[in-house]
Amino acid sequence: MGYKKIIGLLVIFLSFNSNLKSESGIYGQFQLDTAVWSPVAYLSLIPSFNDMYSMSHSMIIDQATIDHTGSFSFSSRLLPEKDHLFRIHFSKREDPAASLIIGGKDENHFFLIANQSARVLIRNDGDSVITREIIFEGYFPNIQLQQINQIAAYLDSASFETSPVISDLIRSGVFENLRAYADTCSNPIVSLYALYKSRFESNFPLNQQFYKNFLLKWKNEETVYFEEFRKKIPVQKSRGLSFRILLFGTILFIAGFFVSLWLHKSWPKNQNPLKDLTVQERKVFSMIRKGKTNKEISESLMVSLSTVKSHVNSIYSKLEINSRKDALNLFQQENQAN
Amino acid sequence: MKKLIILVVSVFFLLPLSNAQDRATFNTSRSLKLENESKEQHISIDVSDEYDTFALSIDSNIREGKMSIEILDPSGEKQGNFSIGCQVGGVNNPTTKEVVQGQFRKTFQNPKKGKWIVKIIPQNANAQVQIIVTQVQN
Repeated sequence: MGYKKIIGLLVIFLSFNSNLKSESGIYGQFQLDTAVWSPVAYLSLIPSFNDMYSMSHSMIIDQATIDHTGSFSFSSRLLPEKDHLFRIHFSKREDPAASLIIGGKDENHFFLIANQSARVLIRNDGDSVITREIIFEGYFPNIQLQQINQIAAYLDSASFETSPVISDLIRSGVFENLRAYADTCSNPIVSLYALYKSRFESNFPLNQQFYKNFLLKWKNEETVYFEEFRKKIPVQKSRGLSFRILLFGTILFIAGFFVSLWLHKSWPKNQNPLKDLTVQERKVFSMIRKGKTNKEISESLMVSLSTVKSHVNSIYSKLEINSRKDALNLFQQENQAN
Repeated sequence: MKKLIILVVSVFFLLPLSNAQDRATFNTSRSLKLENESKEQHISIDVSDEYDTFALSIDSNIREGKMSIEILDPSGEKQGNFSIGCQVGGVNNPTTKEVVQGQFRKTFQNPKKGKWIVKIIPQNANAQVQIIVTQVQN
């Protein structure tokens, strides 16, 4: 074999190797005491921030064997197209695969963000707590995630303060920093992760404008993470002008209704109902009182019979009567009253 | 000279021991076994002024159903939580055994004094919970 062929093969091998390394996926390099820990890494999809500390077999989407050098990898084929939050955990030999240890020297998990095209490199620094010092490379949102974890870690130091005042100051400083991180971060999930770390539930009533602005900034985010967050933040959405006009109109209508009702009740009723009649109607009415028929009235006033009938109906309606007899009675009542 | 060295070394080793004896430690442990349980349970822990360190250790496993555990300080603020759940196994699927385990470890220096609550929220759970509390007096 000539040296040209060897060089050619070498070039092909190197390019293949570099392609492998630049492939998307999650690549880990962990130092584990395999006498204690099973040489398996489990990858769980975290469907919401509320489930960060939930564990069940159904959450585990993949598992990878850790080889003798401490390497493991998860292919990107199971990862979603868009960013999601994941958790990698390890289990002790005597424990079930679905085992979550929170806190203490045996803490067995950490979180990361990945998607189908992301390339995530992870390693631990060989600390006795396997997941205490995780070093991320590659996909940048994980480096941001780690920065947030470092800020949040100051909360532990707050608990060592003997003075409650100093302890509270440290806590509020840490939460303020996390909110600032969330405010300026360009990745929506990282941004939300920072807010969850800042225990936003207790801060929300005091700082509502911040959360309104935050939601406005991410108004187009329709992931489950944001939907869940929106439910937790009872910020009133700003309504359109049409809604306000409709609301104002409804209020005016109701107010008008009650005012007219009140006026109708409080105004004294007309003492002389004949004042409501027109001049012509009064003439017709006086003739009715004299006992004249419609025809006689028609001839007397020189109007048509139908006009007289129209006047009579109008009189009945205005005086709230039904017959000529009622008209005469009304006349008598009026006389008695006077 | 030799005696002096022995004395100094002895004092060096015994001094921390005597200090340790001054630090009173108070341990309590409580175990619960839940069988097809859905009723919320509250375990209260009194953290008094005389203790400066409060360590909480919760071990739990579940064979069926779901279970959430929350740790609330005296002001009602959540200081930790986790949940575990099974979809198969248990009484209905005795041939398929699935156990899920959850552990929580946290030490609070200068904890808020008063009644801490460990809230256990099971949903048709067949589970076991053990809570170990250690309080250390300075």
